[in-house]
Amino acid sequence: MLSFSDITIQYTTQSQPLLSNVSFDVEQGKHVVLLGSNGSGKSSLMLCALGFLAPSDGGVVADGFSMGDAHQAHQARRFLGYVGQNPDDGIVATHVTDEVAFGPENLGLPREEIARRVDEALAKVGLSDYKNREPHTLSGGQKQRLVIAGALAMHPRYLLLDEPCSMLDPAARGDILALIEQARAEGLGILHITHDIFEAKNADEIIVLCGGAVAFRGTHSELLQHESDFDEWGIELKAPFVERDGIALSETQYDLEGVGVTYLEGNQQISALREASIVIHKNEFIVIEGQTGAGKSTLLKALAGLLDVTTGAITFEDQPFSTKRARGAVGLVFQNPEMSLFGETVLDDVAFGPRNFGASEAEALQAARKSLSEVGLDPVTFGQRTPLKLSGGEARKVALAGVLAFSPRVILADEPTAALDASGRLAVRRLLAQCSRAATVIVVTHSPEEFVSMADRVFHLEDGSISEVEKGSWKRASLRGESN
Amino acid sequence: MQIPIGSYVPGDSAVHRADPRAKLLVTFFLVAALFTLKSWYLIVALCTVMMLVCVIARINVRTFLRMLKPVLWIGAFTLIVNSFSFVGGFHFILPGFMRGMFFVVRLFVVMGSTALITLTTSPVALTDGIAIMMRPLARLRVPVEDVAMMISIGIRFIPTIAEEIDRIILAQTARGATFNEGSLLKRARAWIPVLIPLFVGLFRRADALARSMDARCYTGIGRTHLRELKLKLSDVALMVVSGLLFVLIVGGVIR
Repeated sequence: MLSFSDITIQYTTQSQPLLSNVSFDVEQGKHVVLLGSNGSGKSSLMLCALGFLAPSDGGVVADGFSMGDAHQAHQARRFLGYVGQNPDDGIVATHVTDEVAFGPENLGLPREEIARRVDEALAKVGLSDYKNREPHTLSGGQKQRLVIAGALAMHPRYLLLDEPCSMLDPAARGDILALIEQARAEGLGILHITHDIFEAKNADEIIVLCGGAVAFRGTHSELLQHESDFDEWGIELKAPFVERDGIALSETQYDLEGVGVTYLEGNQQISALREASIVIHKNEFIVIEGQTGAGKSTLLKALAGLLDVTTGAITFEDQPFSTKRARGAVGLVFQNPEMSLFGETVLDDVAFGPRNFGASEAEALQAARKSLSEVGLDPVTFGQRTPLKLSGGEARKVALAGVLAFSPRVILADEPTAALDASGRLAVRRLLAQCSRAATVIVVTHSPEEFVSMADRVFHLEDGSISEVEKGSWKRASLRGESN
Repeated sequence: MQIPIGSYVPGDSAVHRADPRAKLLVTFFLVAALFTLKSWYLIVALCTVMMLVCVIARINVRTFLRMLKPVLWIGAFTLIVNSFSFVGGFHFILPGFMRGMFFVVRLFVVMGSTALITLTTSPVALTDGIAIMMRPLARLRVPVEDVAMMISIGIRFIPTIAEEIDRIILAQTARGATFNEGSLLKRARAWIPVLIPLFVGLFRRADALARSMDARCYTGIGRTHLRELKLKLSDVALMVVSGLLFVLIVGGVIR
């Protein structure tokens, strides 16, 4: 049994404790989900469980080993399998087989046993055909399955999963959830951290963390009876409806005529975009939906003027489109945009765009202050903080402000709510709705349910081909993930 | 983005299958012997052997020549400086040209034979080979296991980091950054918005990676290995023959 007793975490004596007196157990064969928003302390609990963080009070005991003791914790990690949020950061080896073998090699197992375990673990996660691949050639979902195989090869009694699906698209998320079910059926105890209630559907027990304490514990159906508390707990059941004023559409922003993009990969000609012919109007809110590999990022780069189309032509505001014309007119918000923040202060970082596009220093700072207020951050106090030490939601807002600051006429956003918790997602959706008053907004995503209520039109991208879909065909308030 | 270490061309020739340790040792003998050589005959002979290995490994001539590109200018410069004289007027000197050629050909054989290793050996096999050959150093308290692990992690993160650099460059370009305009200083400064997030990201990754390794009980001590390199008879024969030739050349028996 993995038992947490009276865990209290307090970083400084003056501050409010992050967690106070949290106790629960994870038994073998049980799936326990820790649900909570960013900053609820769930990741710190995970670090305690692995013995990487000593709680201020209380402790974790794993099958008799005290995780507060360095030596015992090392012993206990032999039967604790850990899977982190981003598989790119968890993969050690240059070869799929070597990656799975890494744990068993560290345990000092004989070679035949390692080989047997590698085959077994890869078969379990469905990667047997990828034995000789290099991990960086795998998709995000496959990489995460590889990380799970690496944990399973150590024959753990428990699996500790820290937001294992937050970087994945719905199909890959389904695969991971199925793997978790399978591991539980085989008798593993599972501690699973998430902020997405959908991932908790099959859990034996759900523990909601809020304000440093356990706010709820029970099953999924019991949890659904407390819907009125969800806002307070930071749980999002449905994407809340975001109001957006309709604007009369007349002028044309983009006119794509038979746009195709092909590139060479090795000796193979790959069509990332085929014969795309669409018209997008000024101030329109467009959602483009598609799974990983459908050609979303290629389309985005084409619309941002960052790549040359192979065939066809793009007309932008009635003129031929080019990288030069896109400069300053098109604002592109990449996936995880906070990963390119660099300024000394938040204000300085946000002023980067306007400065590059020729504003004077005073004008640039003025624009930065204005856009920080627009995203709901105080330019005076918040503007002086360092952008490298912000929470996920705050950093995302700063990154958005960095694009709004040079007043682009088009805003392109790639998975703008990815890896955010409920309150962060809602804030970003509201912001984008607000942006569409002054700009054309195009959102590219694999979970369109979140944006359908605000969208004027929805397009579906598959295998490089784009087509418009009936907006009503997306259930407006569907449970996230139900569509797959 | 072009990845320099990705020069490995997978294949199943005898050269590909040879043990990485044997390949490293043979190359070492070859390079060392080259520097004691005085006669053209042997250099031509070694060149022929190298070309033969190329053919056996089915390495595309163009791929092979591309690997020599970095020393092309050094070679050309050496040749020109040696072939012409300004003393008593500008004129061509044949002995100088021959001396230059002698340097250049040796340089190309050195480059070519090391290129052959990286072309025919996967990075994994190469690090394994280097790690095993370094094992005696563990007696001198060199942390051989850890060094091998570091090299392997380095190789593992090259594509990830290349991707990340691409992404940050695109993101900053979209915010109006330019990288090839203005003075040298301005160009250098333009990279700050790329390098800072890159390093911040690397530190974050390093933390997460350490956690993932700790969680899988890595200590660097008492590890076993799934991949065990086994010397085949042919590998041993290769090493003995090249060793023998090396001794004979250095000893001046063959000249």
